[in-house]
Amino acid sequence: MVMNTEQIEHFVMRYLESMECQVMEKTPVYVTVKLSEQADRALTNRPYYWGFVDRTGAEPETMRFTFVFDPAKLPPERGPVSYVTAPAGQPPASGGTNQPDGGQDSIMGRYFGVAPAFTGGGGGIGRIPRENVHYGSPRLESMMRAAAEQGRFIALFDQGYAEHRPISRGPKRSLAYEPWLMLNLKVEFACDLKREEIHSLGISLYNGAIQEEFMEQLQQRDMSPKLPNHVHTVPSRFTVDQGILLIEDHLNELLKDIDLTWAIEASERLEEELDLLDAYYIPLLKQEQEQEAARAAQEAAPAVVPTIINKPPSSLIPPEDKEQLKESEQEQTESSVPMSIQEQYNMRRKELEWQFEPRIEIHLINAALVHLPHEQS
Amino acid sequence: MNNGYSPLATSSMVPVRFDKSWIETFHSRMERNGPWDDWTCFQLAYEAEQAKRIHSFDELQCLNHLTNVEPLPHQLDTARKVLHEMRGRAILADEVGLGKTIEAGLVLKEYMIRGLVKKVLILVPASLVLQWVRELNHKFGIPAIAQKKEYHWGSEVVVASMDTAKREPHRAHLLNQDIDMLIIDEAHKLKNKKTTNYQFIVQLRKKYCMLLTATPVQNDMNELYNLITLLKPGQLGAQGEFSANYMHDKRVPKNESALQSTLSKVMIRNRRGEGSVQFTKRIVKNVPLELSPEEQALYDGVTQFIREQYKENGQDIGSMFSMITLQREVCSSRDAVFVTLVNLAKKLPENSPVRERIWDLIDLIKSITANTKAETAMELIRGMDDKVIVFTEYRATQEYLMQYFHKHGLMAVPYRGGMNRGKKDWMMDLFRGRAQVMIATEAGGEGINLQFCHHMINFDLPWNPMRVEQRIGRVHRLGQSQDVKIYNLSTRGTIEEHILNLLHEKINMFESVIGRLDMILERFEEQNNLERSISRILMEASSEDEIRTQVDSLGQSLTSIKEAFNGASAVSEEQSRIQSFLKQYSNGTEV
Repeated sequence: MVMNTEQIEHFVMRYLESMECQVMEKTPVYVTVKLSEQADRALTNRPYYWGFVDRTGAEPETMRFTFVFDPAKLPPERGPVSYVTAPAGQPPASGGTNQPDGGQDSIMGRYFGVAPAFTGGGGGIGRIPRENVHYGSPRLESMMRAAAEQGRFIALFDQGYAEHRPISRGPKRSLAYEPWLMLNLKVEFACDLKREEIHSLGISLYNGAIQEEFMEQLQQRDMSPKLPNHVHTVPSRFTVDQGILLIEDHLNELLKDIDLTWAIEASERLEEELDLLDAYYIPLLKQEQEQEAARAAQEAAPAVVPTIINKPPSSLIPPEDKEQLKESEQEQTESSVPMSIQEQYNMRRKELEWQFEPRIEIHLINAALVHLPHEQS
Repeated sequence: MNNGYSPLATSSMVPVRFDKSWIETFHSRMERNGPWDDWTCFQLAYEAEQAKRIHSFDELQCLNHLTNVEPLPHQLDTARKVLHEMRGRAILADEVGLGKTIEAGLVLKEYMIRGLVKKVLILVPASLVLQWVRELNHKFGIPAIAQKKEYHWGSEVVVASMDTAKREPHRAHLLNQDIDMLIIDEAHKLKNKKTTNYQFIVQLRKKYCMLLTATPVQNDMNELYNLITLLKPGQLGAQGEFSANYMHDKRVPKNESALQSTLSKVMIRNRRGEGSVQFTKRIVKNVPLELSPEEQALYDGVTQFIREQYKENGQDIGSMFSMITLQREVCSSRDAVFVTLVNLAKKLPENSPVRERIWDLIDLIKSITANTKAETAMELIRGMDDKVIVFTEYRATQEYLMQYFHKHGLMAVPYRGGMNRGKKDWMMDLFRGRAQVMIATEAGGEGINLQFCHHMINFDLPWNPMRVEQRIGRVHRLGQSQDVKIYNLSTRGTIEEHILNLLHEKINMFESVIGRLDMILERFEEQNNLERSISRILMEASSEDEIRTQVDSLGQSLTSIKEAFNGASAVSEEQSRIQSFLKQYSNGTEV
């Protein structure tokens, strides 16, 4: 799916506004803001500073940022004059650079020799850090995380319905609202690869009806956490826990119909890999067992043979490697007991299962108690 | 799974896990009727998840996330192969310089985006730790850290040296972890399975794994077997099976095509093509200059001074370090010599006669009014109408040029080793955007990738050919789409002319791509130090002609090493079937 520049701008602006940040400058290319306390705590990763403010009650100073949506359209940062030489007063050497906009340059030119403008990059007091918020950037990522944390659980009411209620004669009658539970869920189909689906499911706690793409429906309505006047909620027949179970059941039904080719293929890959592993380890294990048996027989005999610990049984070492072994023996001694063949085999098997075994995991994105007009009234 | 029957069709075999850890929090909010979260954030959280959703098993996601790196086609192919055919366990065996790190970064990023990898361990030689950290952070936005303290092992993406990791107490930390992705750079160091390194890797618990090496096998087929067994035991069959099936003896492979197809399941090797398609041409232009009489006087004066000092010091090159510097600087600019001369004078006792000599030289400097080289450089730049990077060895020259260009309305930015990271990036941005010229004193180090620039001027020449190659490499590298024009400024009748002649005519270094230069120099330096040899010639020669003949013979010995190399490697290639197998190994692209 990904987001384009416009969508990112829309996303960032809504986040900043909902956090009540103070917008200092806004252009299509970037926005400069002074963060609200809430946003600063969520975005700037300054736990020590906020710990200090909380303990001492000092007046907090939140950070300012310039978030850039479209770095390509941004002129390079201005900096202290000593680092850039530019024509003083005269236009730049004709055809010098491939600047499309010569006018801008002469304006820049006039700035040089005057006090350096700290808009970032150079450091110094009053510097406003500048950050790109393209898709995949750490900053956009952190805003997404903050939004997720600050938008997990909510209660919502349909406002439009209450505002546009039919004009009634006499005293206002109370309107009936029906309680719904909405779960936005991410379903992960994982093996050594992964695919995801998002399901927004709403269940009426009044009659148990389940609707898909529930969030999309809500976004068409005028929803708000505000409780409208003169409304009442029809009684729930189901508890929230029952609602959750019913949604889970519904989802399980949906999952029964999905294409399972991916899981079959993953299991086949796992089998294949396990076969390879067996081909390698089983002969080694047999060898080891024989070795053990031989040693046991020897130990049973009266002659005492000193056994060497910390060393793989020598029969496992191809003759040409024995020389090498001697060389590396010294190094070997600093390490602890090497893994036995059996231990290695078990570990490699577990790794393969860990990597390939198909599984479906369902995670909650967020959940809401939703109040919609009760249709039967 | 055969005969069409699949127990999975009923889905009962795929376990479904419904995460319910959130229910308790939800309950407590309901009981107290709040506090409820923000509706806008609620919607944003949902939209973010939709944007991030991985909608297919195999379409590469990482490209949408990367703005600081533009992977080349062969790197993308490699990443896809590792992900989809090799199932995340692979040996990346590209030839040097084709971007193994980029390939590994792409695979890693893809797994991280998909949430299949969180815990990452990257083991590299100590000297490469910081470079890896920087590249992962800058190019891939992967928050990697260099392991310095014991508690760093708890971080998600850790880069460390093998030597540290395998020692206690670090070893114990790592053996207790589930590592989602293990990456080992310079993995040919794991060719011997009896070493602690090898045993340590065997004991690590890992899900995906990439081994990076340009030389997966050097002398012995068993090296390859060990490396692959570390990655995927059984891929080459049981012990003994490999040698029976694929080895005549440890130096000679057999059943090469079968071996090739087996290897291609775990190993990718992109090679530099014969034509080096991806590499554009280097066009070299030497720009000879005639010094003004005043400049020539200074050059002669300094050279004379140095020879005198050399004789007085009993012809001991070792003690002549600052003199050699002086000799090099005088070819660059009067500003460069000036600083060194003044410092030299300061160190001498008040009554030293040498002090007088130095003041005389400084008087010569004062009489110089114009800088021939700077003028020539500016004419060149004006004529180019394009971005250009000017390299000089000296800070003083850099500052002079900044000033000089400024005075003549040419926009230039400086770049030097002493700048901190932020300032370097800033200078790069300025050069990319507004300035036509960058004046750099530093060529080494990561971070200056100037593929957008196609012109470079060697304002002065380092006497060490590797430094020249480093300079060129900043501009002429993978990803450069145009031919690169290299201008060498050389003043007639100075040592510079001879050095240029040596580098250009004798070892042809400006035109040949990377290749064998480092090997040739290494061999040469076993007996001689090139810079020192040049200095000696300069100080001992009594005439121009003598200098010329001596430098020529220096060139001769380099040429003969080069020829010996070509000859020798041809012979050893014939002998070593391993190397020729590796040469023909095709699972990858010719770049």
